[in-house]
This record gives sequence, C-alpha cells and structure tokens, in this order.
Amino acid sequence: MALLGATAAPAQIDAPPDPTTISLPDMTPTRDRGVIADGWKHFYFHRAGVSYAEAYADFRDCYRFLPVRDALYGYVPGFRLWTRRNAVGPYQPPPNNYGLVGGVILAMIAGPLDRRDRQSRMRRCMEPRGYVRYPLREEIWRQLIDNYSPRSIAMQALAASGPAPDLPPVTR
Amino acid sequence: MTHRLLFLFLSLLVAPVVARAQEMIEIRNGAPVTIRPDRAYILFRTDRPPGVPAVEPIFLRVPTAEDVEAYYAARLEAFRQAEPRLRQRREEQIRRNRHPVDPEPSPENFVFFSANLQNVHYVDAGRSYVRGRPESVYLFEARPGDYVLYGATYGGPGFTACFCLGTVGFTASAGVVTDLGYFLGDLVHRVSVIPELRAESGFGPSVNGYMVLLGGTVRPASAGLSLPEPLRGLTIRPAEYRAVGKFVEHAATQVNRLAPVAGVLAYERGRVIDVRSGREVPDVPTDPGS
Repeated sequence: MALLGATAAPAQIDAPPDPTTISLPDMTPTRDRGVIADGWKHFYFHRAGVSYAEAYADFRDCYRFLPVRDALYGYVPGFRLWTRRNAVGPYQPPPNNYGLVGGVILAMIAGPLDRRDRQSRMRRCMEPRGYVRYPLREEIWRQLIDNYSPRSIAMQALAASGPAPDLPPVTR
Repeated sequence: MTHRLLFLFLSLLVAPVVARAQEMIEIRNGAPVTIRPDRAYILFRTDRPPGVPAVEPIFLRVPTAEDVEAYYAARLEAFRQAEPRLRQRREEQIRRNRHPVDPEPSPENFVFFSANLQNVHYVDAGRSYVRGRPESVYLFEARPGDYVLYGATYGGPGFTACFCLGTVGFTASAGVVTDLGYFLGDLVHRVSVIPELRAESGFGPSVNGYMVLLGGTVRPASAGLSLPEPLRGLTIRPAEYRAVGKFVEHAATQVNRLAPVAGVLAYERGRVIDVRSGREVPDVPTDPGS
C-alpha cells in the first residue's frame, strides 16, 4: 500500500542566521490602552525559555503554511500528487463574485483579511508549540513582520526568544 | 467529420462524469447495497448537536503510480496548449513593467486542474444515506486504497480548512464496508459543544481569516453503533486509523489540524505523534516531482 507519511524524513531546517546580525525594531512593551486593545490585530509570538535556534526552526516550519494564492486557491483541487510537490502558480487576487459595489467593499477589507489569513495560520501552527501573543504598536509590528519576508523569520525568532514583556498575553 | 465532432462533443459532456463516478460515489436515501468485489465502501456518521453547522469532510485517496503518471501526461498536454498564452502574458507583463512577473512557464509551475483526474473528494452534506438530526449517515462506493482525512469545508466545494498540521489516514479495502465511525466538525472560533473538539476550539474571532476556521476529528467506530437496515449482513470493518504527518496544501483558505484521536493521534508541541508507537510522525514528503 502507498505510504501515508510514516516513513518520511523530517523537513530539513536551514541553519539560523547569527542573531547578532539581526536587528529588531524597538520592542519596549507599551501600556498604551489602544495598543493593548488592538493586540489581536498587531502582535508578536513569544515563548518563555525558548532558544533563538528553536524559535527559528518553529517559525521556519510554520512559514510553509502561509497562503500562496494561485488559480486553485479556495477550491477543492480535484487531484493532488500527495508525496510530490504540486505546482504553485502566479499569485491571483481573490476572485470578485460580488459585483461592482461588492468589489469596492472587498478592496476595502482585503488588507485586514489578508493579515488575518496569515495570522490565523501562524496561530494554529505556533500556539500548540507553547507560544503566546503580546501586543505591539502597528508600526513596530509592520517592521517586525516585514510582510513575512525570509529575513522576518530570524527577526520573529529573536523577538520570541527575548525577554518576556511585563504584560498580559493577548487572548482574543 | 461530423461524427468526429459529435464524438468530441459527447466526450466533453460525458468523460468528466464517468471519471468522477469512478472515484467516490454517494449511495443515497437508504438504497439497497450490492457489494462489488473490486470496489471499496466507506461509511461514516455525523453528529451535529443544535447550533453545529454541517461541516463536510474532504478525503484524499493516496494516488497510485499509474494515477501520478496519468496526471503528469495530462498536465503536459494541457501545458502545451496553454504555453503560447502564458508566454504572451509574461511578455506583456515585462513590456509594461508589471510586478510581479509570472515565472518562466514550465510544466512544473503550471497550475493544472482536470475534471478527468480526481483523488480529492468533498462530501456534500445534503447527499446522505440516512438524513437525520443530530445524526446522519453517509455511504460511498469508492476506489480501494489508502485515504487521508484531508480537510473540511462548509457549504460547498470551496476549500476552507486543510488538516495540514496533522490528521489521520485509513485503508479502504475492496469488497468490504470500512466504518469510519463519526466525522465531527464545527466552527472553532467559539468553544465547541462537541466533547472531542472542546480543547481544540475557542480560539476567538481573530482566528478567522477569509473564511471561518473549521475544526474536526473522528470518533472511531465501536461495538454497538447503529446501522441502517439495508447494511445489516454486509461485511463491515472498523477503520484502522493511522496518524498522518504535516503536509502543505496551498488551495486551502485555512490551516488547522485534526483534533486528537484517542489511541491514534496526539500532538506534542506541534509535533504529530503516533500514539501506538509513541513516536513522532514525520511530515509527508514532498519530492520535487517531475
């Protein structure tokens, strides 16, 4: 019988870059009520006691599940190769099936939905590993996340393995 | 010539239907079942207490070597037809300084969908064998093979959540009914009333992206489960579930994991654990393909 994944080798994780070469934005915790209230929108992951190398491996693993929107995004794909990589095509914006007015509304909410789409995947991947979320100012969050660029893996890992802020974690 | 055109037209109409019918066919409305020795039969129930929506499971049959070969051949053929258009589009993007520019077209990066090839199947909640509330029963005639509980959807073939972070698989053998027990699904931004989903829910509304996040699990078949009258007397075997490691599915609009299954599937800091052996289940390999 074909394998269900039980004999496969685990994914190889690249060696993390030297953390002394990584610079972070100003992560000083803030007591600003607005920032704390919006913590569910703009947050970073942290785990007490995790090493930079382990956090890097966790982020690297979870970035694999970030969305790649091609022509099949959102549809049951019909056929999947399973143990071989399926082609991923060029980015396709989500289809507009809602007419002109719907399209305008969709364009207005697309940014927040994109953010939530990525955060949802990262939450489901990172939180079972023991990471919790802490709020950040939006501009700091943007610098740290860096649109999920490859270098943001090391930045997020460094933040996650740094000192815990004296704040309650985000629960929403 | 007329006959050839007519044949081509009829092929276009009929071929997808025939090919799809060979994969997983719903047997509906308590119809009598005659077991074919060359086909597998998959049975499961759903349990939907009040307030729980009709979450629909998605199954993947692990493709055989012949399936993979047929896929590559069909993809190459489709790519050859599409290549001039793809190249023209890319040249236009370069000429107009558009970003991003499509990659150099190749069969490997050609996103291909064929109605003739299918190994992923979503269950339409309305096409039940026995419709009821809270329990419904679903029965399928299917190709024998190894199956994976791949994900879940809600209200149609839009793909909402894959169980990419860990799930289960089972073998459906020819000539018998494989009883999966129950499939349990719910929205998981709120705390689920389904006991098996309680600890894997209540994540808050911020966990919803373009779609609400779906969760799910199985309650394996056990002695004493009720069977619809037409199925009594058939050879029915409880599914032997296996833990399946993480895999990547870019078509899904959400990513989740199957909630733990007692004796089969557990997690340890995000690692998928085969409960029987106590060992970590590695990721499903994704060779580059060809």
